[in-house]
Amino acid sequence: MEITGPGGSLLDGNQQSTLLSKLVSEIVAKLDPELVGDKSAIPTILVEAYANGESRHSFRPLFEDMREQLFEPGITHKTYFEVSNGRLIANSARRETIPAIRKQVESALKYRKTRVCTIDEAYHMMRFGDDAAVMDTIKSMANKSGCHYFLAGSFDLVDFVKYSGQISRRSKLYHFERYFQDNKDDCAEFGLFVGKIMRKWPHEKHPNLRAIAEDLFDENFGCVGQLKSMLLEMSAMQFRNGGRWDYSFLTAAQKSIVAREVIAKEIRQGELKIKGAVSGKEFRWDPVKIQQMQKRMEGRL
Amino acid sequence: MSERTFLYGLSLKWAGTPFVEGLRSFFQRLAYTHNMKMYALWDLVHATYHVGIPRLGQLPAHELNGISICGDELRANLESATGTDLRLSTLMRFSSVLSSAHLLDPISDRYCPMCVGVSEFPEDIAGQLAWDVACVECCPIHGIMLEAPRCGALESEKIRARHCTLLPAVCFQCGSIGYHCRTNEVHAASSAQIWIAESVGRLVSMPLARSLNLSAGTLRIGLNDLLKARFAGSPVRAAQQCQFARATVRSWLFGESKPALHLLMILCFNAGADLASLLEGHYVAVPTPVGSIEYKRRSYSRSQSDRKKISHALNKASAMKNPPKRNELAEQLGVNPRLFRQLLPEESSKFAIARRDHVKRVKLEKREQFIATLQHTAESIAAEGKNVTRKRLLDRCGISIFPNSWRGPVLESFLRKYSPH
Repeated sequence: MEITGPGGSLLDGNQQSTLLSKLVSEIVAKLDPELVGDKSAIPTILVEAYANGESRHSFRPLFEDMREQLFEPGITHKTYFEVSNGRLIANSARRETIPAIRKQVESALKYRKTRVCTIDEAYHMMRFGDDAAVMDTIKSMANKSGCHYFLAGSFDLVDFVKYSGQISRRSKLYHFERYFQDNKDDCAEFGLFVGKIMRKWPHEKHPNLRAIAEDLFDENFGCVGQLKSMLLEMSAMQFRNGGRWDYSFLTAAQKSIVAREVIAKEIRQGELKIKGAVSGKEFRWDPVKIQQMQKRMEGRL
Repeated sequence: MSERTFLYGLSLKWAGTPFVEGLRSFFQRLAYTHNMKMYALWDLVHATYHVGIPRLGQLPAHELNGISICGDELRANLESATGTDLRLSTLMRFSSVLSSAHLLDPISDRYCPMCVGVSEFPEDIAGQLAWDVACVECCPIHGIMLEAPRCGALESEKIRARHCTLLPAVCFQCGSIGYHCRTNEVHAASSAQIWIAESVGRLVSMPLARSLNLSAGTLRIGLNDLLKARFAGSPVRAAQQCQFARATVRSWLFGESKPALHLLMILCFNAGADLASLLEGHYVAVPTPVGSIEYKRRSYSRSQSDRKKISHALNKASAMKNPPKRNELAEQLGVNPRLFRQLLPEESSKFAIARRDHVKRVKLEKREQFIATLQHTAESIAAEGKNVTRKRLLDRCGISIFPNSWRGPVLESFLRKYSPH
């Protein structure tokens, strides 16, 4: 399962992880309530496929993070077991190889009854190598451990889904959209969100940003994360100004014209890329077709 | 997360059935699922829970499944580490009614050749608790005798000790899953042996709640019931029919002693009684097959003594270049080894000194031989122009060194001092 959206569409990095974690935990608690009381179970884990400046990564750091999230005991006591020709061989010398760590993670996922593993910033996995190989690895791990994988990240994730029929068959793509200005409900909700932030404004003097919600909407392309960054910056400026509000903060907190154009271009390209790929949004069977099918199923045709 | 269990919540296989898994098998499978060897997991559990015995080897392997305080302590710690109820995996729950003596077979890892060959995945095969019980000699499902692990693989197919794994149904010498390396034939069990195995199966499948109600009192009620029904109320008659000593059954009724399981089985077989029901306080008749169970009475011949003969044997052994072990000498003489010190303390200590000197000499010879082998191997490696390293030396010599082995320090000392000629 893949969850995607424009950068900053939701919230900043930490809150995105918190939201994902909370969302996934609630889903699992609803679908499998027995796991909630099971002390041996770790129903969900959240890891990040972070970038560290190298052009190519391996799965090792990701597996090690997963192992840590699963609170795997005795990491220095592990052994790599191989079964070949009906014989079981223990090889401690290979215990820190990638296949061995992967095996440890698969065991942990299986016996800890982990239902969902969320990989945040999943587009960084594109640097792990061939996209096909990366998705094959995830697919194979899902098969072996019985765990579902949520890959969360920006629009680049769509490339993962589109590369193969096998992946498309096994996955669903969900899009956390930004707010759209031509949608009245979106505008109202965006305004409410500005109001919520203003209620937590950390200064005595509150600027009436609610009144310019429309302009803020336009400036931030309806992305709440970007709005939040902008307001945080204004708040910091007010701090530096001894708590006094100044309307020059509105200009200072704006993104440059070039930066804004780049962001707008990325959002446009991303939304074009994702067209037709999102689960539950666009269908081949339109309402007319569904009605005909209903009639045939009920024997009325 | 502080409430989370330390280890995986692995479930006990076949709990509540006659084929319930034993604690030792559970521990081995737990280690395997954690991608650890059994002793590595033991070290971890010991470090975390400070279990009484520091080394697993201090407790005989089969005692884990029996009536032992150390085994029970390990069980309790594993329960808190995994969150799995393991009370069905040992015989401890019958400690109020059964004696711990002669309960378990000293050969651990007995198995049924057909039961273990069902799966190619090691984690799927478990060692049954009943296989460790001394009076169980066969598998009740397949009607064949249980076997002790014996590897039939060629020497070239066997693997080094460091590559071996302790798992039920995995050969320790060649790693074969399901003991497919065995070469000996299976033997059919007799009806009496199958009956015993089925009776023990009914016992170990007793629900936990019922076994908690067992006591010396319930056993006595059951015995009285059985005696009235089958032996006209006479414990002496029951003992005689079973070829026990006259007072055996009476001591269970009126004394402090608890019956050994194998003796109870003989009594139940002769009376046609269900063992589990007997322990709960009822006599329930069950059909028994034609045949009998032989009870080997103790001969007491080893307690008899001829001081002159023993003294002569001890003096002769003390003068030998390779004196035998104390137990071997006692077996040759057909006496109890404790008699040496009891009857002839001087000759016994002289023999002990001679034996100790011999062992020292042998160890020294082995050490010198080992060093000579290392020297020879090191020189041949150096002659090939390669560096003499620990790994190369061991590979060439074909030796594995265990952590507590005497070879380890000798090798390190050799490597420190070695310089090619």
